Amino acid sequence: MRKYLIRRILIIIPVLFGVSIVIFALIHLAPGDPYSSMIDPNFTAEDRRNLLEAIGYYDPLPVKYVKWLGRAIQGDLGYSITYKEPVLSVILRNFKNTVVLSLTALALSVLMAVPIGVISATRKNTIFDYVVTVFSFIGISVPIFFLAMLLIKFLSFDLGLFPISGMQTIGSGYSGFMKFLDFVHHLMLPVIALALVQMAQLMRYTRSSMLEVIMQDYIRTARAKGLKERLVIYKHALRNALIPVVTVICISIGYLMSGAVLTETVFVWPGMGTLVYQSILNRDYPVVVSCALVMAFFILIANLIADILYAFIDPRIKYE
Amino acid sequence: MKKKLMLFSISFLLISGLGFAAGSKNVYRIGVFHSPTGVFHPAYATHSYDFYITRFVFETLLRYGPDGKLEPNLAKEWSASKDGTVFTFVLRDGIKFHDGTPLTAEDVKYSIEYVGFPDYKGARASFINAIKGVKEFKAGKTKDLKGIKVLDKNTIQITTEKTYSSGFLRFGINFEIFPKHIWEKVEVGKAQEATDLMRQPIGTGPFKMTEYVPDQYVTFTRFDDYWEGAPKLDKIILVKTNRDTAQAQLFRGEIDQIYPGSIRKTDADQFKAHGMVISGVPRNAYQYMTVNLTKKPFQDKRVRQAIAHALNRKGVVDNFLEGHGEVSHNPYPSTFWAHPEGMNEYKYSRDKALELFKTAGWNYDAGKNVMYLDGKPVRFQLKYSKGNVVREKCAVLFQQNLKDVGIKIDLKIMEFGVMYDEVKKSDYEIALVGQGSENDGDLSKFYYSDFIKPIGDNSGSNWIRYKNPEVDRLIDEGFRTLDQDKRQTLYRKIGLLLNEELPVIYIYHWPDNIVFTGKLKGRTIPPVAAYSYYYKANKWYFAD
Amino acid sequence: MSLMTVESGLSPWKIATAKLKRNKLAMFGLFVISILVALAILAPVITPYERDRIDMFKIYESPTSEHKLGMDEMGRDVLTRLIYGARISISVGIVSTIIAVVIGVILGAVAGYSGSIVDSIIMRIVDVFMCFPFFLIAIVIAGILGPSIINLMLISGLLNWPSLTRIVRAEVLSLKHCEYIEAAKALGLNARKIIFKHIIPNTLAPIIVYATLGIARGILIEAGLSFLGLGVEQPVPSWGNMLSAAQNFTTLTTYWWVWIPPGFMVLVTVLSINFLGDGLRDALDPKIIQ
Repeated sequence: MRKYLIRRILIIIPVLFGVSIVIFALIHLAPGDPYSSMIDPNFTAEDRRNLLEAIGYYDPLPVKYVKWLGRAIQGDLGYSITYKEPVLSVILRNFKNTVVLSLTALALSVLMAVPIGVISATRKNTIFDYVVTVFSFIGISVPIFFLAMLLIKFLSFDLGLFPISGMQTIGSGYSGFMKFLDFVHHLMLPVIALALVQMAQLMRYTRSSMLEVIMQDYIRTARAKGLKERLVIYKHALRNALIPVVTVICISIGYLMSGAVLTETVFVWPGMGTLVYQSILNRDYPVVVSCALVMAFFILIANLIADILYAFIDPRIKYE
Repeated sequence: MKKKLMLFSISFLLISGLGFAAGSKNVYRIGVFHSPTGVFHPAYATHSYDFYITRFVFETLLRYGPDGKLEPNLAKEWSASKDGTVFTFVLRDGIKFHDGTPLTAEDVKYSIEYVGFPDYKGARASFINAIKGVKEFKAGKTKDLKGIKVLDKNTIQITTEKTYSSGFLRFGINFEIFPKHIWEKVEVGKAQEATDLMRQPIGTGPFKMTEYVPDQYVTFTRFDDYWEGAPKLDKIILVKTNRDTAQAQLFRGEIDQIYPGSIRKTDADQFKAHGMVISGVPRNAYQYMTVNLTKKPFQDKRVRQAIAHALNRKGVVDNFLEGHGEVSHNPYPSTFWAHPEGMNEYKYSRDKALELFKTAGWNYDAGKNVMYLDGKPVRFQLKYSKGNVVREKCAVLFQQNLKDVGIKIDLKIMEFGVMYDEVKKSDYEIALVGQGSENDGDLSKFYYSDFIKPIGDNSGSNWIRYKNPEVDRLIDEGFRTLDQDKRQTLYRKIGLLLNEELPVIYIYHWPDNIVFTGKLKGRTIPPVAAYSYYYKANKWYFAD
Repeated sequence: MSLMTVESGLSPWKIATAKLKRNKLAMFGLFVISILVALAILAPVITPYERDRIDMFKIYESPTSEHKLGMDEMGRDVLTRLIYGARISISVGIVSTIIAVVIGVILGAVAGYSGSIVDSIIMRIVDVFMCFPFFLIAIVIAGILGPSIINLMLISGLLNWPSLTRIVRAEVLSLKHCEYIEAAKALGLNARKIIFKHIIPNTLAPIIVYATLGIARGILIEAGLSFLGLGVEQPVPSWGNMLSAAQNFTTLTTYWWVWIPPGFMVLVTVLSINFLGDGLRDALDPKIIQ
């Protein structure tokens, strides 16, 4: 087991390496450069050459990569071409916002989905179960940006319950507690959108996992022994059913951290998603590569934790 | 549980209510669709979203007034020598920077010559190319630019190599003045890494920038020592929002102004119903279809004229722009002083188009609805870019229009930067592009044959590769004339010539639309887009 | 699945089909999908108007008896474009899934069967692919190749094969050591024959389920990428790019017929496929006994 763990952790490094090479190559293959959209006729070709030379644009690709790698290993992720600011600070700023959004959405969806999924499993084929099933199917079938725009139209615009976009009410001069409440107010709609979709998936997964456990022999045995139904469900079945669910949650965290481009764009939430999208359009190479690495890193760690948890729980799985 | 719910709901409603109330303090909020990137230095800013800041915090020597003509700004007087090589500007007294330091001619000299420092790595190096001594300065042979002389603390004199008819425009409008005492302490080559300084710009404008939160907002607070008098508003805030939700935010009072791009009639009605003011600021620019002049089929003027007749340009203005714009027949919009009279309007007529194609030797088979050239069916690829909704619709419409005359068009939508690159290299058949022109009427950059580079080279500004000796001659004269009346005659002639020749097929002119709350008073907007958004912002106030 | 002892004497496939037929939601899904596919194929025959015909006088016209779903922002009939849009959305879903399945199955089977080095290499590649943030890569590739339907299918397919590889590999691993395969090996069949003729057919169950759900995923991806402007280009209609035309707020609030139909179609299609896929999963899963 330990050998497996160490191997998995060590492998993260070459995988990140691989990711960096692929992304680096891809983004530099994209035609255009950071200054190709500048149409000011006063901006001459000579000016453009100067600017591009300053960012090392004319170096051959392997040279560019090696230069970048050399600095990256030392912790210097470079300078954002768009923001003229260290890449690390740009990413940290946006990452913070994504974390708040994702974790809140995740917490909300877990809090709602798991109990509902469990209850649904125990009340299989009742109306409750049916409604939950249909709801969760709809949740995984609806395009999230469509849902987001519907929410904005009905809840924000028509009913005026929530602000339309952004992270705070600008120019309000709030501070302290009021500022926090204002922020929460702005957080709600994006969280609802994300949580609804997540919840759908989680509910189904919990339900099926729970169902699987309930069918097991040892549950039947417990019942046969005469144990109270409640005890059977909550003490035995639930614990075992939840483990696969936990691993799914872990994996979701990994993906959530990579930022939900569509949701963030519709709600103007300055997170990793919007950063990545803008940086690619602007050909801000250092930012794109660093973002990819950060996201890949989180996905890897999350998957690793999920696998570990799963291995702990299911002794049948042998890792060679 | 119930109590908590109550408490929660109350604070909820309170906040929603506060959200509305907050807007009516003495703060004006402008919604923008792209966040400024934080490069708030006039010599280094390249994105138009950064210009929102640099053109507000910093000021130029001259500015455009309500009649569209140049008027005093930092400079109270300006003049040029008869031969148009010596330009003199006299500054006002008592102008202070945001940190209290007085503005002098030294700052003006520094701000203009800055882009010529050998280590300068920005986008404006060519702005000073007309000034005497610029080659030596850029090569590092002189310590400063000799062609700019500080005559006394308020007077500055700029000498150019040759007659420079764009002098007032270039020196009066294109250089924002920034403080020498701050930036001379930073090594020019490393200026772009001085992020802190970059993001705390010190200028002379009526508001100073006091807060910048990337991707969210920028706050400007009033500068009480402003030379034209302290502003009436307390703050102006630039809020990052997006196109879909900005309108709704405007109506709910979360923001006070937006630049909506094209406006439909229903949008306009909604704006008016909510008490908004719609201002269409004329823009000296045009959208056009360029057909590759280096390819044989397009070299015949009759073909280009035929295409113009085949396209429903009026339909574009009436239906896509809903009247907020006009059909274009030459580079100058009707609001511009060089707009010629008596132009050919190339009205939408399929018959006229077919007639002209015929005279050019193209063969139309009415039965099959196919146009033939040299025995082969005519088929072209039309490149256009994302991001401009009206232009995207034009592409689809024109595909249909040309199909009606038997020409098959394949559409190719591309990222703007990529498309622009290919087009400049002459790697295209047909493309849709927008172009702005200089406010002094000069069209040289685009139509002067000197600026043509070989095919495959994307560095020439006359990338449509248009060569017309008569146009060249007229442009040359324009370079040498400072007399405004003479210039008007000249440029009108050029306009007429271009209307006849159609090096590109002109589609439409459009105004820059600003929509803002009717509660804001004291605002005048000069009819020159991009330069007049903050005109006399110190005079703005809320009616409440 | 094929290795479970069958008591009733019916083939496993027949049992699965019977199970499926009893699942009401799945049957409903199948029914809806069939109709949609039929509509897509018959589009040129059943649509009332020409797909790209522009009528500049009728821009944003609301639904009338002549144009049952009204006109869009360019004066084209929405209902016609909606039906043609089915073609794009469904074909993107199918083709991208085929790409993912072909790559995923081959790699997964090879990895599972060969073991040790080959397995390690393939799984490392899978790891690298699986931690690519999807939209980042999609946007970059769209930037390189330009927006188009083919690129959309490629991007979708190339980014979805890793999870299938894992599934197939797991199945193969568990099958590798059973008697059936040992016997084949003993008989001297070469690896390629064993993989293609014996192992893969027995892993069909999860592949079918995955493929079905993959089509749904593909349709959602098309919607998302076209919404961002990276997918299907004009004048070709797809449900995704019809949705993006509603990015104007007035359209969102007033011209509902332009965007709600395509959004609804995506939802209904994906929902039906999910019902069916879920039903297939239940039907083909030996552990759930009805």
